[in-house]
Amino acid sequence: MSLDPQIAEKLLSEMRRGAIVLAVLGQLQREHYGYSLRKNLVDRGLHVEEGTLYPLIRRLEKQGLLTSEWREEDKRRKRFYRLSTDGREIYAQLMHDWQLLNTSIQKTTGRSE
Amino acid sequence: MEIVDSYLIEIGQHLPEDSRQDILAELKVTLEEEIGDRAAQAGVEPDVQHAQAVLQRFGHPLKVASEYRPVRYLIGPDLYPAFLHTLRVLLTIAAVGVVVVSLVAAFAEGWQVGVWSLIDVGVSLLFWILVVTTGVFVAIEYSGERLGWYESWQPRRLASGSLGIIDRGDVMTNLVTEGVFLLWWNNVLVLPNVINGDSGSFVFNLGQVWAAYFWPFNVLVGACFVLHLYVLMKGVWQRPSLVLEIACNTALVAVLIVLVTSPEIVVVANETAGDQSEFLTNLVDRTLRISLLVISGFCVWDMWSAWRHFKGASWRRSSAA
Repeated sequence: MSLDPQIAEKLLSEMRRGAIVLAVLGQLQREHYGYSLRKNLVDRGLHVEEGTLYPLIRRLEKQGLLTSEWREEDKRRKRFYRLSTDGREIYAQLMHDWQLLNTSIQKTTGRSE
Repeated sequence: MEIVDSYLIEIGQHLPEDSRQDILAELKVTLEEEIGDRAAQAGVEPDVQHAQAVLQRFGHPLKVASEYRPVRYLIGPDLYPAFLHTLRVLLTIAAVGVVVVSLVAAFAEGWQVGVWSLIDVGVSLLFWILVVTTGVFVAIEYSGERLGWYESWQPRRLASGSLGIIDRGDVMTNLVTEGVFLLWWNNVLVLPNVINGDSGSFVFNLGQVWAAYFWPFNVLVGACFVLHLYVLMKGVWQRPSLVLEIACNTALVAVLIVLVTSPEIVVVANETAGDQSEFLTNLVDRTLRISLLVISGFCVWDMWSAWRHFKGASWRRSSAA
């Protein structure tokens, strides 16, 4: 029986969803505007679709994890984002849980050093 | 660039009004930068081809806009199982209600109904139950209210002595068939008993032999009807319900076999069909006997299914031991 490629794709997409939030929060410890954030993520090997990333930033801002301001740079008005105080707190907590999860996964899959 | 503006206008049509301008302004800057970057990598000035390539990757305007909106459901995944369960219960109660009310009205007032009227009542009822139940659940979904079914669930409410999960379609089919039979048998539902031929009409009725089975059929099929309603509500077969299922079906098969072997199960009420009379009488008689055999076959199948549930349960007990 051949494996349906959509199953792997769906599982990968579910797995990446949470990781992308973490990566975005991590990147926004420094100030970024939408496109510069995406370029940074791509440069670090994390390809995120534009249609996913930009709405995600706005959702995080709406949840109070990011702050934003419109500013001019290179003769263009751009919206810059960075972590809010709440965002920093949540990010620290998520990173801690991520490490625990990573350790557990390595132990349960027998890949721990 | 015109193509970018057109793209943004398309997206804007589907964005929430309060944040529309803000989102579009941000998207415009992002798109222009991406297009500029793409052209710079190729060492040329940005043109429509670059814009088209970037827009293609961004995706359909409707899909992009939908990402900016909260996920909305008419009835969400949390409520959907409860919605289906409620619908199933209400439809079953309605179907049973139609049969019971019709029987009561028939006995009290001599009320009768045609096939199409019964279908009309059934479809109307189905429609209104569907509309009202959907409406109520949509209101619950949008108001944020929860039924508390999942939270108030307790393991001690589980049906004890379950011997297997029922086949809902199978039980529902039995229930509807039994309901229609009870209505017809008690003269509430009037089925056409006339065959119109070239040389006249041919009216037939059940033979005198059936009269002795008026109450046995009412009791047996009525018991099956109540049993299947109960089983449908429970969702599982239990030992007493399986015993009753086998007993009722055995008795039904016995009665049906007696009827199949009886003479004159159909009598002709008038004989205006002329030369075709004998042929039509034989045809109806044979059709009815074959139908009774087929119904007996269904009853045997139900008995066999019930027996398999018993066997399956004993296998489960031995493997558990």
